[in-house]
Amino acid sequence: MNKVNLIHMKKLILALSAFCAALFTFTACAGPNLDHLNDMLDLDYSKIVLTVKDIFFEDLPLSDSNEEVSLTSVYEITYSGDVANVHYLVERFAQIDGILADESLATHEMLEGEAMIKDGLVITKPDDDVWVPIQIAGGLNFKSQYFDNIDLGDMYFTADVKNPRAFMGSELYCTDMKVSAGFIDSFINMSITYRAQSGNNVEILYEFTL
Amino acid sequence: MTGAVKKLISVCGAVVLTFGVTFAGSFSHTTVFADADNYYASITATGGNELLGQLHDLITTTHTYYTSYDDCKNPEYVKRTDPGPNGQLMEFYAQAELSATWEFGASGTWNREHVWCKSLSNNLWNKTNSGCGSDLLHIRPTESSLNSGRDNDRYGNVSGGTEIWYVNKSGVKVALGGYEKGTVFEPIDTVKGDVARIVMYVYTHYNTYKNIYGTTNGSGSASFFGTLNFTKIIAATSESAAIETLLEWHNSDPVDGLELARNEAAQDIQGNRNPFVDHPEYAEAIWGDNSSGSGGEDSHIEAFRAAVEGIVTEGSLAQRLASLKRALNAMLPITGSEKDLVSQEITALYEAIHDYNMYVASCNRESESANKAALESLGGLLN
Repeated sequence: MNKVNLIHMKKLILALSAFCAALFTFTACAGPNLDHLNDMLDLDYSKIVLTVKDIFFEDLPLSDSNEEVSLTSVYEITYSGDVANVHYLVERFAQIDGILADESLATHEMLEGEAMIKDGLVITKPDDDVWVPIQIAGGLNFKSQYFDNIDLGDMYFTADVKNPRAFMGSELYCTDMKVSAGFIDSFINMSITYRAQSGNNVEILYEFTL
Repeated sequence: MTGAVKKLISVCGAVVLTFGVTFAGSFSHTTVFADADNYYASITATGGNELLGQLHDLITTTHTYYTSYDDCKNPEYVKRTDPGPNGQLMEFYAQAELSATWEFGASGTWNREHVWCKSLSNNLWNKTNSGCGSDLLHIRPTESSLNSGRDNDRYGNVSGGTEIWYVNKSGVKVALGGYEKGTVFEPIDTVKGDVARIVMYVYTHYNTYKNIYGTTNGSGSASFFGTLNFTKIIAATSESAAIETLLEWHNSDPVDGLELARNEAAQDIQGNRNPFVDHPEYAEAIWGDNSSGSGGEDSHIEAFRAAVEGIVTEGSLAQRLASLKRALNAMLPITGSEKDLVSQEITALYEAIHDYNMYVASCNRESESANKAALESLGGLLN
């Protein structure tokens, strides 16, 4: 090999090395591929149980004991063909009806009912003011750029969520969101926690059954 | 001065008045001496709220001349309402004679004592000294140092309190006036009944007729009348406990001649009398354990007032709710015209309920926001 060809070879090697380094760097910044998690969201689960716990902030003592004061709502979603049945048990603080001094009046009350949703529309629902979703366009979306400190294993995923609205697919304003999920070939469970704008701590637990 | 000497002086005083001795005082109304039995001719109730209301109407409608605060320092008046054995005045708390000459309240001389302190009058006489603030059946002459010593303490039984003395112009102790501990003042035993009967008079007269089961406030200015509770002037945690102290003092120190003489002088000057001096049995009939008539209603009104006073407005949600439930339950027995008596308390209760409901509604909205976000995150799983 003559001297000219050797110089060209060196330049080619350097260029190729630089390209590989750039490719490696780019790949490292983009984070791991999470497409398989999104694929698991598209599976046909027979049941999903959604538990939402809203824990009121400690600096406003709502309880005269050291126990936390919270409101917990549970939504159990099952499917009959293309109809989603949402059985809900929503907990609220009870308001006082000034006319009645009911001995059974407690700080909390439960609203229970079942709604049926088809094609994003509520087709049946009890006559109460419990909100149920209609025409949801978004939903959970796993993309690496939405997270920091990703820890992805064969059967688990944990991360700090730096873009909660994009990840949750909802108009949510919060801080300190974290996600952890367990799965095999489908999701088993998922936990999302965050601190709401009001200062409350919220814990959402998803339980999936295929 | 012993109780026996006090009673001898009062008897002499009563004898003088019976023979119709008048004073050339600076008043223009007719001098009429008392016929106590006729004064109470309109009283038909035997006890409870009915008796209380009738007495209120009587002593307000017969109170035809409201004396001024200056009238209360007139030596000629005070020598009649609080006569001393030697023609001067009887100092109220120490029950010892004191010169009736007005010397502007210097130490060792007398000044005007509000038995029911101005600052504890629910703003009825603390600014203008009018109405009750210059009522001759209320304002008593006291030695200035003793007056200052009592200050605006509530009355009550104390143990181990500091002695408060009537002192002369040289600062020498003359007679013991009572005991003070913290913000509570206990008169000497021979004055306790006097204090109790004056407090009962003030309560019965100057509560507005709506509070007191009466029908009128007589000719007195509306500003003279308002809401008075015994707990304002008696150191007690409840109205019933305050009444217990008042009845204890009223029964332990019976009516004496000084008080009877005061009633005579007051009726002559201002038109009315203290019914609890002329008829000490009225106190038990209205407030005692065996009070008759509609006295039982008073207990549930007082219970409601206490419950409203006990409403918790911040902090523990459970405590707030429990206090509101107590007040709502306490309101249940109050019906019809009785609600007029507690209209302020009812308003306060519903305002507190409104605030509570607004607070829990805001918490519920926050929870609903979290629920909504969680459901929306399911996205296509629900479509």
